[in-house]
Amino acid sequence: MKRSVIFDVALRGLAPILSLLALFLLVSAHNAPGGGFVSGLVVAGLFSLFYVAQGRAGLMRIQFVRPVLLVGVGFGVAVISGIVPVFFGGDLLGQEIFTVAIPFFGQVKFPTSLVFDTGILLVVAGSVNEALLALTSRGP
Amino acid sequence: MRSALPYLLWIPFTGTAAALLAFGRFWLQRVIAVVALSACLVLSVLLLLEVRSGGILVSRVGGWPAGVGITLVFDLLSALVLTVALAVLLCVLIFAIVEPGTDDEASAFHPSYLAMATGVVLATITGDLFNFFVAFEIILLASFFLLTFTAGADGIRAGITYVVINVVISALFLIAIALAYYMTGTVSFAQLAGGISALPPNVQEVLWAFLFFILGVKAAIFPLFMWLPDSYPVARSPVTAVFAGLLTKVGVYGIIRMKSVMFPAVSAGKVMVVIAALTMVVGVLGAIAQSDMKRILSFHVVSQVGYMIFGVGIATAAGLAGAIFFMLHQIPVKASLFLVGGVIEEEHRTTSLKKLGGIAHRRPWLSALFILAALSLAGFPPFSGFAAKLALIRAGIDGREFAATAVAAIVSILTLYSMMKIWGGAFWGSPEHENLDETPAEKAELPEHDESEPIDAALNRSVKHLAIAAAGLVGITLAIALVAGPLYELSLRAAEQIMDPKIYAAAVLK
Repeated sequence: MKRSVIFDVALRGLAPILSLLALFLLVSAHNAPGGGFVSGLVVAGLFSLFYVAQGRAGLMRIQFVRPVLLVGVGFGVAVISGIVPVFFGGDLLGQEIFTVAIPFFGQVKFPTSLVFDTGILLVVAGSVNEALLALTSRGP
Repeated sequence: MRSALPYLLWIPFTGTAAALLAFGRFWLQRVIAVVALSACLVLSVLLLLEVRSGGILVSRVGGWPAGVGITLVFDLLSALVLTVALAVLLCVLIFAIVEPGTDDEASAFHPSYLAMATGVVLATITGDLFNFFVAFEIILLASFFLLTFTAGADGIRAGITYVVINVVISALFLIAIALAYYMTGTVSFAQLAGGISALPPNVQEVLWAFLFFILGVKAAIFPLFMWLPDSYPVARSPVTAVFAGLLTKVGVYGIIRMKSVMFPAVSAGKVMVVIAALTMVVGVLGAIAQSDMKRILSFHVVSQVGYMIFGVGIATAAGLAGAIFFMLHQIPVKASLFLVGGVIEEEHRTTSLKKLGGIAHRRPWLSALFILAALSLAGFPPFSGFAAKLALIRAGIDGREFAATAVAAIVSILTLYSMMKIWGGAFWGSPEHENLDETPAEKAELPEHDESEPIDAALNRSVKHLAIAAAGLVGITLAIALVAGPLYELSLRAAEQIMDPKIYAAAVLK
């Protein structure tokens, strides 16, 4: 595949912006669950952009762990955060909202579903990443 | 005890996550999978004991009320189906672990298998139409992988048919759910019951026909079963066993649940009985025409689904109870026949009846396993199939469906015939007999086969282990025959419970 220099350079600027967007989507799903999935899609899109701009080598460069482990960790975080409310006498996947006073930001709401959403983010981003790696490999 | 219901779903989910984290460590994955499914089975049995006298357990996910959030509902029907399903899943898992080459070639076998188990649990305990769809999707995603992961070009080709048909049907399913939601404003089973009965009768009929068509493809009824005998036999034996035993039955479970909870007023019985009779006949005739053991058994999957639809179509409590009981008997029987087929395939590298022969001489115990399961499938007296068919035939006569009842009885005999065909082709005959019409070139290979003694010893051992694993499942079949009376009582109670949608709605909406 022929690489485009313009695209490559643009991606350097885009990557942090997209990461911030993903973070924003994750935490803005404040009072209701759902932000983790959208945010995961943005991160997955970022992975795909790296592949398009820099090829498989570029994709490999941004791998810290095997993506399947991301899926596993995300899944684990999600199921554990789902069952914790049951231990406190609540319902499966129930959520509690803690309000924390943070200097400079003021009162910040921290819903427990944020943990669940982070898990979902990892599952979505990890599985797309694994699929990209599998589809771009030259086979076993 | 209310809070125990979420664990039923949570255990296999967590197992999936743990098995993913143990990627590449086969033994750890095996331990995780066995522990997760065993725990789930134990919990399911405990909950079954709790609801056996007619109670309904309800748990709201996320604390949202029914209609807004997802409700988990555990009634007698869920309890019976889930317990049998989990027992079969566990037995097949053990078979897959023992069989060389199923779970040690791909690290993703255990996560996929556990994800499929999660889907089965969710499908049976969900009280929500959309969530039922989600459960189906979880099962499908896992099954796509299980079907193709060790398959060669042939497997991929059959896998594509399976994937395409299921993706199209899922899209239609989603449209049907959207229609139901548009007309009633809810996707909760409990509220749909009231919402749908307020619709004009012809609208109800169209909606039911649409959903019946969709679930019919999943359950492989006539004329929508074409994908099944093509795609099931190509997978590895444990995978085929669990597909044949469980997946079509999830479709049947959906038909039973939706007919009774959502469309009690639609009198589609006649149509369903006709379709059921056609499914039985076409399935069994298809089976008779085949000469490969796995393909014969795949056609029988179709044929036997007809019996369950027949029971639902009779539309009496006895008919429904017969259908439920038949489903409970069918899940382990079908899976155990495929596992015995898997043992034969492991040893002989083929399941073609033309190439097999004389297994009864060499492996009397394996043959005994097969004949027990086969007679049970055909409905021979002391076995579970007999009790199940007797229940359905009695319900059919009481429901005045004489023609279809006669068809059911005749198809039983044809089933027996095709089981005898497998018996005659694969188990009887002398081992020498198979070489009579072979070309000299093929004969020349024989001495070479005898020289490989060490490999044969290993094969012999693995075949013995596999036969023991398959015996566990045949044991479940025999256990069902032993407790047929009480189990039928439970099925009847489950049928009476779901025949009255008000009981369900009252429990969920309170």
